[in-house]
Amino acid sequence: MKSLSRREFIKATAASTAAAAIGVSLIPGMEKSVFAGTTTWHKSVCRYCGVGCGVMVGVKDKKIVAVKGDKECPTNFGLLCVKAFYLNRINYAKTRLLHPLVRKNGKLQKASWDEAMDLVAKKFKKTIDENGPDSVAFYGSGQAYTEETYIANKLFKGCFGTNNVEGNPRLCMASAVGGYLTTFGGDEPGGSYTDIDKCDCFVLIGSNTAEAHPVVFERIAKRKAKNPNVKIIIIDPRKTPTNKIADLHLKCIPGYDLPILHAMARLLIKEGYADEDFIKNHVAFSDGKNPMNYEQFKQFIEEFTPENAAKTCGVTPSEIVEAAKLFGQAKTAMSMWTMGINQRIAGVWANNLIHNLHLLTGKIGVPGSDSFSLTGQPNACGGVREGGGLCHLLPGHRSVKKPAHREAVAKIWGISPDKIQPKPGLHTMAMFDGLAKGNVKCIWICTTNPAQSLPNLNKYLKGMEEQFMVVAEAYHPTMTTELADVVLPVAMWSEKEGVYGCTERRSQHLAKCVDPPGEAKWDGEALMMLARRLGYGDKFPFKGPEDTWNEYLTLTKGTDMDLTGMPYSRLKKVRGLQWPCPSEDHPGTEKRFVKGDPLFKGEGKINFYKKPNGRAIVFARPPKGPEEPTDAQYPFALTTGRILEHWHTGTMTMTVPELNRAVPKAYVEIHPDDAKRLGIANKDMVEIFSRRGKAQMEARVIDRPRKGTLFVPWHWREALINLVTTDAIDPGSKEPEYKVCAANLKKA
Amino acid sequence: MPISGVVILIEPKKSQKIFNALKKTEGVTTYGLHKDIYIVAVFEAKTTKELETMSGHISKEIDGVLGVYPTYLHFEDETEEA
Repeated sequence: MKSLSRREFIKATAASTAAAAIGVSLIPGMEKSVFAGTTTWHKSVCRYCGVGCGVMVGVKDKKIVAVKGDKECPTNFGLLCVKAFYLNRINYAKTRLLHPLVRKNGKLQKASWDEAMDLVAKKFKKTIDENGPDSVAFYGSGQAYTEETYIANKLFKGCFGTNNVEGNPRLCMASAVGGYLTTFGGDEPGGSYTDIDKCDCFVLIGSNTAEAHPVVFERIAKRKAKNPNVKIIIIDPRKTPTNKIADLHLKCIPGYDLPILHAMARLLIKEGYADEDFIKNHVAFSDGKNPMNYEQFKQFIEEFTPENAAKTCGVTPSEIVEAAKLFGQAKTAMSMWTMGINQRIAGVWANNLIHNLHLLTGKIGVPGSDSFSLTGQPNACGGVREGGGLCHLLPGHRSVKKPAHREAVAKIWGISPDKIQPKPGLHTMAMFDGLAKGNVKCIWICTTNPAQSLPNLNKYLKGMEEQFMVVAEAYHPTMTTELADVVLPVAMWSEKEGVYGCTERRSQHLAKCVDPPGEAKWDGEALMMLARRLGYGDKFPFKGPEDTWNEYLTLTKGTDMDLTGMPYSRLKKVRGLQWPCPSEDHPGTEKRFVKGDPLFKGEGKINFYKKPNGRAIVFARPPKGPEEPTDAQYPFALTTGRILEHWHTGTMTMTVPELNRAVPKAYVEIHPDDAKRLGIANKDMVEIFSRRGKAQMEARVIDRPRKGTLFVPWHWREALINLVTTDAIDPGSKEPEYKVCAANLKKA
Repeated sequence: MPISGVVILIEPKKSQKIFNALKKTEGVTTYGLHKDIYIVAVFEAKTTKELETMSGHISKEIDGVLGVYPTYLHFEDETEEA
């Protein structure tokens, strides 16, 4: 070892660590040596998507100098995606905000924490006193740590007495929540990533898994590479890098995939792939309003012949037949989806119809099968869905509408149950509409950038500018901080400790590795400063995140998402635990609703215990299309999404010059036939416009979107595509239809 | 000077062609084919930009590569420069 130069040593370490991630010992002893020396390693979780990849953060001289995948972590076994190249860089970006800012004479100016918080407290107090508690609001994030969302929830719902508490998961995951709740009675998937290793047929619908969830994609690709008989079906309007492993691609018209799912269900029954025993024992049927029986359901889907569905959806009948056959013939099957399904006015219904396929065939609750929603943010599940950070929820999967739930929460919070309103507050789009109309006069925004990320932005920007807006952010400027009255500098990933809960119900502890820069503080402390100033200090005796987490745990006891067995002392040692986990000697629950789940009741193979009769619901939902179909004036279906190199509004990834240079500017993908017809060449500047607004960007003429479809990555403020998108929402989930609107384009 | 250990996921039938292509890529050292579907490699570069470029080139331009997954990233010198 001594003969190695430092560079050779690092290279050998890098190679050995990579080999170890795939279970290969390349240079015996070398991988362990990475832990030796002057670098201190801390266990954490990646800051980006919802996969929950374990990372080890290397610190030397109080700076992060290395990151490695945590090979002990069962979500990623040491593998990371390319964004990890720059995980450390986001902490040291030049745009880190180092001190509070307060708007004076129209300009944001440096201020002390006391000055900033005194102003915030004064504004909140005056507004609540004069206009009631519903004149203030909190807008949080699926990137905030659970403890931060918990404090905000308690302060706003329990102390101020308003349910105007929302988070950006409303914009990405709400329809998945609605789907799980209506079909199974409880939120979040029943299965785990381990199902991927035993799955014979994957349906990837509305998901570019290769770019948006690369480590999950690797696991799927590995499964297929080792087992060539594994089949992969993609249902999506675009060809993407995910197609590299596809056996079948149903390239449907954006917003018109519900009939495909009904047609598949019809074929599965007709061709004998239905599990009649499973249906008889574990399934009920509904049209959404009234119960129905199996025969009535069969009658409902009879019209969805492959031919009829194909006409509506823009695919061929044979593709639908093939998809049903592959799904039906496979012993096990997993469906995975993201925003292509959720960000729709029929998002909940689309979720229901995916679940239908699994319930009709019994491909759920067994190893290798699940109806498995992928999450877009690292703590959308943990902090917001589980922590109750939405306007209708309370911590522990509770509802503000239920008196018993309000009482249980009030008891722990030390408040009167009457303080928590029984009526849901304003959902995200209503909240920002409230700002625009002046009904909401004060808002605290945490770790998110709605001035860039909301749809149909022209309608909402003025309200954000006019009302009193506090933004707690790691970075400045963002489009939202630029409109704020007060900007608070907060600690970010690896500068604070806390818990993230990922897609597979796994809660993982993130260590504090380094101090935050400048005067940045923990978000929880900033919120408690407001609480103390408004006389609620006694409700927040927390010395830090661990105290906060401990109180939160008591609210999960006895619920379907029991986290009682997950104190920090345990989470710091393990690579996360999956709920329900009711005691410290419980191993966590890999599969819900079956034996091994501590809440499982009865003797059958599965019990959907969140439903009163233990039966999950197969829904007969009408084939609803998009809110705004294309027409002669707006003949293109515009759809937006992510790319590998950037994330959300770019506040992190665009501080990394390398990622910026890799994909430096916005573009629109346009099919070559459409481009030819309009005389648009590759790299021409074009203007995309809808009934709401317009944006200019470069054309990328490429055979990826289907003809008549435009795809725009939504990351760039300079080409603000959310001026064009629609804010029509799913009536159930209140999630906007980012994924489809009618648009047109012309040369700029 | 950043160094990254990576796992390259490949289509098994194209392994030889991929190896040949990787050998021609400056800054890439390979450490064998494992389990038929993985190539272990180390990327060396002067800047993280070059790491990104390398990764992008390999995943997008070399036929049969399904993905490039970093597992270890050392960027001490760059951090000091930041």
